Amino acid sequence: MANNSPSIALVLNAHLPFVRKPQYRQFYEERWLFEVISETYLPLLRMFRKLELENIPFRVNMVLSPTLLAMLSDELLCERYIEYLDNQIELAQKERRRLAGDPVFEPLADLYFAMYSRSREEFEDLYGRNIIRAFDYFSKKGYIELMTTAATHAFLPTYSDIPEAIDAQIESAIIAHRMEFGKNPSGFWLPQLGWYPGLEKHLRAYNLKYTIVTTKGALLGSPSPFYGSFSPVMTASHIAAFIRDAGATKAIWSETEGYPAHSVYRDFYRDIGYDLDPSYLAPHLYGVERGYTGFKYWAVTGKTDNKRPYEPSAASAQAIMHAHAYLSDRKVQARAASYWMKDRSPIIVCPYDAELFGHWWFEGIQFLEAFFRTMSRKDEENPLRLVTMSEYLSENPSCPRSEPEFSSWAEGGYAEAWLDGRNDWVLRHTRRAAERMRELTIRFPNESGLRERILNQAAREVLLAMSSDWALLLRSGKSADLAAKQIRESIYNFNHIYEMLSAHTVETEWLTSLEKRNNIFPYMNYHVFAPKK
Amino acid sequence: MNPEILSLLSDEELRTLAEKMNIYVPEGLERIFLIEEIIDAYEDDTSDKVYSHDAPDHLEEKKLAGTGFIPGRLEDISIPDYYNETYINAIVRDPLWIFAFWDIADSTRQKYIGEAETSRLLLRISEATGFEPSFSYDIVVSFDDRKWYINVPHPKRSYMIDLCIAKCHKVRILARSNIVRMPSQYLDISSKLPQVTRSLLVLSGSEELHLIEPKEENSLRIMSMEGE
Repeated sequence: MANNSPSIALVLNAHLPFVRKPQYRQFYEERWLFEVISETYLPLLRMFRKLELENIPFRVNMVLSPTLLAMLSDELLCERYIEYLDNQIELAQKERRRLAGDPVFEPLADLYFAMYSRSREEFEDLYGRNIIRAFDYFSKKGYIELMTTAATHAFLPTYSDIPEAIDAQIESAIIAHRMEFGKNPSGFWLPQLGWYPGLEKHLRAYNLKYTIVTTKGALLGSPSPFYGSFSPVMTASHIAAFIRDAGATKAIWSETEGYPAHSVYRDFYRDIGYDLDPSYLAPHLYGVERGYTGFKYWAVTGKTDNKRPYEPSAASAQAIMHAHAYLSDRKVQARAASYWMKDRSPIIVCPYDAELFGHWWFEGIQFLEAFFRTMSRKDEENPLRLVTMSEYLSENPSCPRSEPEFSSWAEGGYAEAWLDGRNDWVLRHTRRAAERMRELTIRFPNESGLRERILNQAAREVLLAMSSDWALLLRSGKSADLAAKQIRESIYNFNHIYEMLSAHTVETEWLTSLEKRNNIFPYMNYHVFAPKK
Repeated sequence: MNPEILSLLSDEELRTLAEKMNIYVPEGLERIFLIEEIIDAYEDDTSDKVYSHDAPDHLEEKKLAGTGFIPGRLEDISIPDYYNETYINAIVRDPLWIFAFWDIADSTRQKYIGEAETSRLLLRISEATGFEPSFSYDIVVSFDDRKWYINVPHPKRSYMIDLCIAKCHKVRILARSNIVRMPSQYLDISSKLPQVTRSLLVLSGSEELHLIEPKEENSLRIMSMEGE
């Protein structure tokens, strides 16, 4: 007898591009990592611990991208994170002094002091500077199901005609995952949910079982998915493609209508880094005159510059209400879908970038906690069952056949975000580098020693240049200077290696210095770019 | 769609695009105003598609909130503008646009630039239905061009692009691109779909995502922008 009680799966993609600049004493963009550790990853783990302690069952699929794993396990960056926290605690103390006696703002300075002090205590003492192990712990306990994604979050559809580039992204990712967690993942997160027909063959070749595609890509698939977005579809290569739920997407992603836009939540943009005297902020901004400090005292309020002060307790209450509303809407959807799906369990798939919770939407972790708590209450009013994707597939192994259409979750829904007058120059170089890397694997099939080292570094540089994040930043204009330099540096490094190999020379000192700087994927084997038989 | 991309189109292509977008174009309308009209119509068309335009690009910007240009930071490394090879690549952008880029080896380039009076460089876009192209059209480009956004007539069909030199009514192919298959734009709602699927597609958001092909009298713009 088929069980058709509806399911819901939450998926969090934790990812940052690789930014590590040991040649600088401080590098502003390394703070991207530090901010999300403090605001998203540590609070997530804190919530997981609390739920476990209270015996509240929860399930979540989590992606820890290979670049993020590389940074979280890097000694230098972990040391710098502690320095960052010390600096933030110092700024919080200054803020407490500056705001002493102010009934509205002093408590907010206290909040940041407590947040950064707690982060330091947990990161250093509780986790021993290794939060990857903490995620692994919850994975082994069965609370979270870990997935991987492309090695450097490349937007795969723009490399569809260079199969070796696709394989290199997948294979390097699987090795990175295995090195950290001791086993291969079953699920593969498509960077930017970028899918193209044919990708499934590559995923299948690495024994991956499932992935997630956009609603649009799935609905435009061939044939139309029998159960709409309420069931994964099975591709010809036997990869299950789960389908992102459009309603769940809108509720949270929408910058204009989504929950995070509510007036009581903390405003992301209004930061003392842009309000206070630069000389006061100078010791805390890594040599940058203006930038985000993380100290934000104002609520979203509305479309006005005249913001209201942030009230954490009101925002917390709202986050709980939003969790209830979110679930209520999903229940309505589930009931409607169940009406048509008598023979199988409808599933609502809710994938988000992890950093949306806590970093952008400051109260997002409270929302998630309320979501899990409410889900754990068994009553007739809540027909939904929280599952991981593997659990769903093991209970529903047979899925309707369909091939999703070329698609992504970026603006436009296809490849528009990566093919724009501001960033389309990138592909000329990254695709050429990937093709030349393939050529090198043929020219140098069995190298060892110095030549193997240089070939491995060449492979790292190609992967780094392929990161989809840089092209997005070029398009948005934010951090575009850094993005352009990152791409050019990797392409330059690759081209230099290519020329050295052609001239049968190796600049050992240069290579050693580069290996130390761009030390991602220490186990790299350049054959990941080799043509597959 | 932006003015930069549109400026790459010929006058004729702009007029065809405007026609497909149901924009009235008076005789003699200057090119710059035609581009403005297309952009305006396009923005009108997308402004009410709020449902899914809030794409994760927004979060990427927040997650990676940066500082802009910091003078002197990071070495300004230069890389070649192009590679001394002759090739052309085609990449799908969306159901109706291909992004093509190419290089021409210096020796070939010099040879034809010397004959610029009599030689023209062109892109020949062909529908790749089998072994032989079945339909094609040309876009004339200059020797300084190295990329082009190409508007193709039909989603769900395959195309390839030849980089050609035309001289004295003879056309020589310098390079041929990979074949690209254009994605579909609209749901194929045929009467064969069972009621359960039709209902679940609606519940899945097919209408809000504008995946239903508009009727003739209310035709949508040529480029769909609803992301997710």
